[in-house]
Amino acid sequence: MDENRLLIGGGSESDRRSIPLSTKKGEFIPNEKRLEKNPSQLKASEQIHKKSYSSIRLRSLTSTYNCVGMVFASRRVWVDTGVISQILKDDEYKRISADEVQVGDIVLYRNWDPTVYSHIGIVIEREKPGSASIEDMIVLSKWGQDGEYLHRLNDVSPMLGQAVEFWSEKKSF
Amino acid sequence: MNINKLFRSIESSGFIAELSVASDFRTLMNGIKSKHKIKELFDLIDENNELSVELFVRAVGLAREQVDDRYLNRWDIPLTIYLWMVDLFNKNLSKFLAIVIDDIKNCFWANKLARYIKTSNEIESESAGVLLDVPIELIEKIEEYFENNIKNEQQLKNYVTYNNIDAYEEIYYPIFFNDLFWDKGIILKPGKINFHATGDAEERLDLLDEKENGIDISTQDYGVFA
Repeated sequence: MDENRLLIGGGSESDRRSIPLSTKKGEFIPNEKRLEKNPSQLKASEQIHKKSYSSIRLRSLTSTYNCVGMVFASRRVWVDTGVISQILKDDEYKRISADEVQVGDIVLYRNWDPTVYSHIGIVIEREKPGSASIEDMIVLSKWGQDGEYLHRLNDVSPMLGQAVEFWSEKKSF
Repeated sequence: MNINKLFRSIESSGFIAELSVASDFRTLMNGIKSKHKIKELFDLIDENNELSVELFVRAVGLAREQVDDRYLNRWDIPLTIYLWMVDLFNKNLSKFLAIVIDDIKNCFWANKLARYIKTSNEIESESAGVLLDVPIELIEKIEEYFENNIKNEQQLKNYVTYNNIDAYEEIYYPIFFNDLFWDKGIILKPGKINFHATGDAEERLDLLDEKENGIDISTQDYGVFA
């Protein structure tokens, strides 16, 4: 089975489940609105995740957007992780090293497949700014169809992968 | 672990939660493949391919379960797993399952996989009448499964009521399976069906009778497919 053919599937501009969403260069970003999960299921998932990942703190519990939707689509829709590279390029993000990371920069994760990102989050706290270590970072990210959590950089489900890159859109003159 | 215990395990909140963190289909499938329970299920069916029918039936049962339409179908991930697994072992069955699952409006991953399998298998459009060529041995196995497993009278009555079959004397369980695909305009080779019914169900029986040996059907012949 070619799983790449299942990238969000619908979500094209003509899909009624998508919203107008594009990169800074005007390229349409495929996206999909998604149904909410049953609240009792969401709650059960939260409790299960909290048992497995000690550092996580829940910010919001909904399934209508994913990690990419949280970062690039104002929490409105699901956007496939396969389009992250295109967005970074079109939106003029630059890759930065760990010691350059500031609050507001983004972190990208990879799991089994080294060619695509599996997860994305926003760094929201650094206990030791300017440090080359990555242990001090607190990240906000959306876990698939479950909650939006604040967590230590790599205190995430193995399915989401490990943090591999940091990127920033910040500009200074 | 036997297959029923594996089913329950795969359908548990904990198992679903572990997989529901996936943000894309690649990650979901990689996660599924990495799970020990999935490997166990694969090995069981690999040893005894007939279990793919049980897997199929389990999936159909989940697909037909009444769920709250306001929310995402709670069985979205188990259905994705079952459909994928059925497709690995039995393309004939996965075609049917894909049709059933694609019809569930509030699934997400399972719908996508179903559409993919339908497209891959070049199944005709939903509104057209199609006759799928199912080996008779497979139908017999499915019938046997229903005879052995769907014996609960209340379950049968619920089914009969739900499908507006007003009167009946005797129902052979295979009708359950045949009827499943009726709305899609698909008729399996029906085998022996013997019960009295009224209204739509009666028409269906006549039609099944006429088409007993899997004779071709067309949209023009029967308005119900339009």
